[in-house]
Amino acid sequence: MFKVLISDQLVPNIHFLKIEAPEIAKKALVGNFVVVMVDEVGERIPLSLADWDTEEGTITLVVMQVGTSSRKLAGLKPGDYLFSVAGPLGLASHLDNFGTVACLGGCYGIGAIFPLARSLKKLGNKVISIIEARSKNLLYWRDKLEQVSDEIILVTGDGSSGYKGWAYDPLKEMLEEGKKIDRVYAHGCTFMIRLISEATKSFKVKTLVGLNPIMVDATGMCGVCRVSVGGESKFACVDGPEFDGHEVDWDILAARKTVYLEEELRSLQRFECQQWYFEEAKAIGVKL
Amino acid sequence: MNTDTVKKTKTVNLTINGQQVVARKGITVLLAAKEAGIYIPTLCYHPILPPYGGCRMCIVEIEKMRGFPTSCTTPAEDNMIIKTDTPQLQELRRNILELILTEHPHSCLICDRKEQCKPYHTCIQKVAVTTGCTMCPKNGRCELQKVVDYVGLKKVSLPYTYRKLPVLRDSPFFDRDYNLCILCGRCVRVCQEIRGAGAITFTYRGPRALVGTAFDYTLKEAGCQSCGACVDVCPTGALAERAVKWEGIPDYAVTTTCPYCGVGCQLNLGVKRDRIIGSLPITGSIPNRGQVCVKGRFGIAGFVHHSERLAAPLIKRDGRFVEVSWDTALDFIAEKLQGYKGDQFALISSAKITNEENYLAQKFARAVMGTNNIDHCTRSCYSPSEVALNQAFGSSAVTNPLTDISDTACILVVGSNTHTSHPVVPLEIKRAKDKGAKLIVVNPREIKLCQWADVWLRNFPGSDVALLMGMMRVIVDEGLADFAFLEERCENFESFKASLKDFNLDFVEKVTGVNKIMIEKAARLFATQKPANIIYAAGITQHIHGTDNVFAIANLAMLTGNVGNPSSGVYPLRGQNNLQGACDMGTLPNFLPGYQKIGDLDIQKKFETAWGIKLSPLTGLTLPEILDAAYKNNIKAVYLIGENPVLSESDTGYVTEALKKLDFLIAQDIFLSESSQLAHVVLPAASFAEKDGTSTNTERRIQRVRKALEPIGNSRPDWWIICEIAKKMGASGFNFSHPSEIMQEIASLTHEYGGITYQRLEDIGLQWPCPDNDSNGTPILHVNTFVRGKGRFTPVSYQPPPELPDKEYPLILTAGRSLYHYDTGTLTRKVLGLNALEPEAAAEINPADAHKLKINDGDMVKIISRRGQVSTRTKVTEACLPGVVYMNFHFSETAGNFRTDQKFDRVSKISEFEICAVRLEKV
Repeated sequence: MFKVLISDQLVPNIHFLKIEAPEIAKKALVGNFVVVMVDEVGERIPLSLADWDTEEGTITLVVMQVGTSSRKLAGLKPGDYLFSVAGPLGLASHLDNFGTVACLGGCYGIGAIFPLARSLKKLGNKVISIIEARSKNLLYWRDKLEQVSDEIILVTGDGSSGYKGWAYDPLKEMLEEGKKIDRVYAHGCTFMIRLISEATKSFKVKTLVGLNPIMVDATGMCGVCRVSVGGESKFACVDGPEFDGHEVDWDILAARKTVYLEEELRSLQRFECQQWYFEEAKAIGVKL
Repeated sequence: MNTDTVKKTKTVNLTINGQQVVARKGITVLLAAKEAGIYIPTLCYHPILPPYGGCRMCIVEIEKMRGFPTSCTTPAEDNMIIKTDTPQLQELRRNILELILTEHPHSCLICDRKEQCKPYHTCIQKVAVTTGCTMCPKNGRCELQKVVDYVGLKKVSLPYTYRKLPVLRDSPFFDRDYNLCILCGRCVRVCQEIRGAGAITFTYRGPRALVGTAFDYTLKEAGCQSCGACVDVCPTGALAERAVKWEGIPDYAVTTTCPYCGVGCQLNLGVKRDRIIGSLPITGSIPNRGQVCVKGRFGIAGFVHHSERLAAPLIKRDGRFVEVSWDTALDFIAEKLQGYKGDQFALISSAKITNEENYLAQKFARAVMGTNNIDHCTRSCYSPSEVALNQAFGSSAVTNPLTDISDTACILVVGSNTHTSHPVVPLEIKRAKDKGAKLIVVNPREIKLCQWADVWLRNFPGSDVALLMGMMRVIVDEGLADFAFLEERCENFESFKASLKDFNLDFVEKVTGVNKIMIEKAARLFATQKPANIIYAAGITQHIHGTDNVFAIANLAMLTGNVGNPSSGVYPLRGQNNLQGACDMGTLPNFLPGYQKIGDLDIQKKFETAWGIKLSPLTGLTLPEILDAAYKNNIKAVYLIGENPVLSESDTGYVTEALKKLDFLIAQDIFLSESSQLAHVVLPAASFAEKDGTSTNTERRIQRVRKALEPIGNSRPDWWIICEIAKKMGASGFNFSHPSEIMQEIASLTHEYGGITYQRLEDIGLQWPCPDNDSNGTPILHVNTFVRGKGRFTPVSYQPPPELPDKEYPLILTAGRSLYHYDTGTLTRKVLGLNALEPEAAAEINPADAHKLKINDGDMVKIISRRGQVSTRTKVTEACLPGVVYMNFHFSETAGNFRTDQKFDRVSKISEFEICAVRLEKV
């Protein structure tokens, strides 16, 4: 059992969890992820490590509430326990001193680029962090990223803060201006990392993206997380989750990700109704 | 409105955007444009609500008028020249929208990737807090999206302020996320102005203004009846039905008739992936005017898709049910039933199934089994009206359409807790009240209607005859009767007048417990305000003197001349969706379809020729008599369709015994009810959503029931099952491939349904009598002459309730309905949300009695009658009269009709459901 130490909403729908997991913290590397089961009947979901502390014996996750399991996760309070956390899993990022590196994050991906930027900076890179949200009130961790970046660019879809547009816009601008960027890392939703990959392709800047396909066992057995990269089938769990964004077959990935949308909806609806019975109904004095 | 009146109504000519428009006089510019197909954006406007003019989206330019008037509040006048889409108007609208959007998450609304976004959705994006359209349950159906699109808003120059409000989840059915609210006020207005509930209101003022409940009460505390009207009018995703929040737009929608009470509300069942994802009211529908109650709105999918639905035929072997194939079950039944032909067989049909199925049920009993032993639950609630109104008027049906109520000047509601039993009818009463009508409520309990009443007569249970006769005595003595009407249209007045002698007001006051001044006041009000209506329900009929009660009501209506005119009539409200239709179809022991009497040789001949068999000329047994005969072993086989007599009939223990004694019991139902558990064979029926047919509501309107889904599992529509059994038994005349063919046969044999075809029912139901294709139905009965010729007065005498309280049993137990449950709870208790609102029965007692018995609110008590006892929780409330215990009858574990009196009304054979002497003991 894994104890929840901190559980907090960063911005609407994005949740921050600090979990007691000393064995995982001891071995965690940049780019690793964990597979979480919230409760005994819960589904297994892969989540990128947003931070870890070997001394404290804790790991940090940033989760977006989009479906049943993430709702359950966000519902945990300090002192609650997670049924299981397996990890660290996946290959570590290949890090080096590349020169100038852009780290792009959106949604829950802002969490994942934090340890990445920190390590890259330590290795002597010039780190430009670009974080994206649809609106000002959805941006988080600006201060944390500032500490590990040489430059930070905020981008909002509605222009309510920083640059108006999307994460690839300032990146593209820099590349068009002839600014030298040696490597791009992108974490976030599939839509975002795809557009970033497409934007950097013509500039031939190596772009590494953290893929997040549906995953079950996360040890290379089931094959559910397979993705097509450079014409080859790869398993995101053991061959990834980081791949070359210019090689990924995005259409297949998008199609595979949506296979269970109906079931996910059904599950969420049932969960929201049940949750009402277990949590809200009592609060308004319904006897069950 | 029919075509003639449209022609007669004056019209106005106006020009909208250069287009010549002819509009009805009196409508608004907005409506005139809408009817001419010209779109004007709106947010606070809703067709069911009075104009508000709050959102300023519908502003237009009208020549010779200053400024920019709101089209929703400006009447269309002759020669107006209107422009709806000038650049200046659009600019103004954009400015207003920008202000609205400063508090509505709008990043998706103005997103430059709107088009790109959708194909790339790879996660379900169903977030906890809606932060944009793609994450909103209303995405694609949101009116704000539509308006933003129309005015071409691309940029919001003001910053967005997130309200940081928690999503409120205090309703079992919907979530309230006021972060998305644009304060259009539709929900507040519908709750207050249409529903009369006033549970929600605007709270605070200025920038803090929000929609909420007073003092932050929960919705239930604030008086919310969970009707969902607010959810249905909300233009944004602020109010969303939780169970189907993320379903989006249904694959298709089917209009059908609600399966609960007798109002017969029209509903749209939305279906997605073979599941019902919503039952929504339809704007402007008749008879419910786009309103439904909690059961119709939120209580449909829960039972239709319940996991306990019967999905295969069951045969009891060694005391246990075994699943069998249809062939096995039908063969078994056909073979067994051959041995029980004649009067040892009885069929108990249902007011829940369609007209066609009821017709087939009685045809099966009469033509195949050769008996008139057929009845249904009308016996338990309506039969006194059947008897008394037939004798008085010549027809027992409701005289006027429900929508007539709103134009009346005075309404007398007696023996009906209309808000709980027929929840849409009070909306008509409210409409009438809003127009200045007077309301008289007669009820021992303080029902919700009392708060609107001009006079509330709180009489002792069972004293209605005395009260009504007392009122009539005042009317006659003071010369307030409609003597012209009496003279011309009625008979037997003198002998009735003589019977009034026994009711001097001192006696009435003593018997009813109502101050005689109040009785006089009510009598004068009712006699002088015209037109007037009388609405009553089971509180009048479910008495041993139920027939006398109805006679008294009929007398009162005739005495004041309130029969046969618009907005003046008698409304015996039917409890079940198709109680009227089941009676019309002749599932009665004494009538063939269309109230054609058993024993009349010509009629018998007509049916014998049509059906090609011999009919029994003997009147059959009524439902309680069937159960009696079963108890005495005179009836050996019973075919039970969709009924649960164990709970619905009086004296649960006796009924159970009676059914156990049968040689052969077939139960056909959608769930394994308390009664079907006693059966030898159980047949799984399809629910209303899985079959075609018609049902007839309380105002005689024949309405379509439409198939929305394929039958669940291996269930089958009732009409199919009856036909198959009949065919297996070698009978002819049961070869139907669709219910519309059955309706053809019904039309050919009954005068009232003579002109009914499915085609004619397509848009709106018809009110019978509709004898031929030229008839458009008959909204008002007894117009120039009563159906029986002259209206007949009947002398009535007072008869005290059969069981009066005594020392040992000092309290009176009465029964009623809850808003959240329906009948024996077979359907509603399958719906989680309804159970949450009312999970168990509670015996209501007055604080005075509670104090005497040292009972606190919520204590468990035993209610003991002369015949048995049940345990239940108590609710101490002033709503209950001292000396009276009130309990509803929906819960099997505390069956409210437990061991009620096994005495019958002498004429209609209804049991005494309402009154029974009891004592309470604290557990």
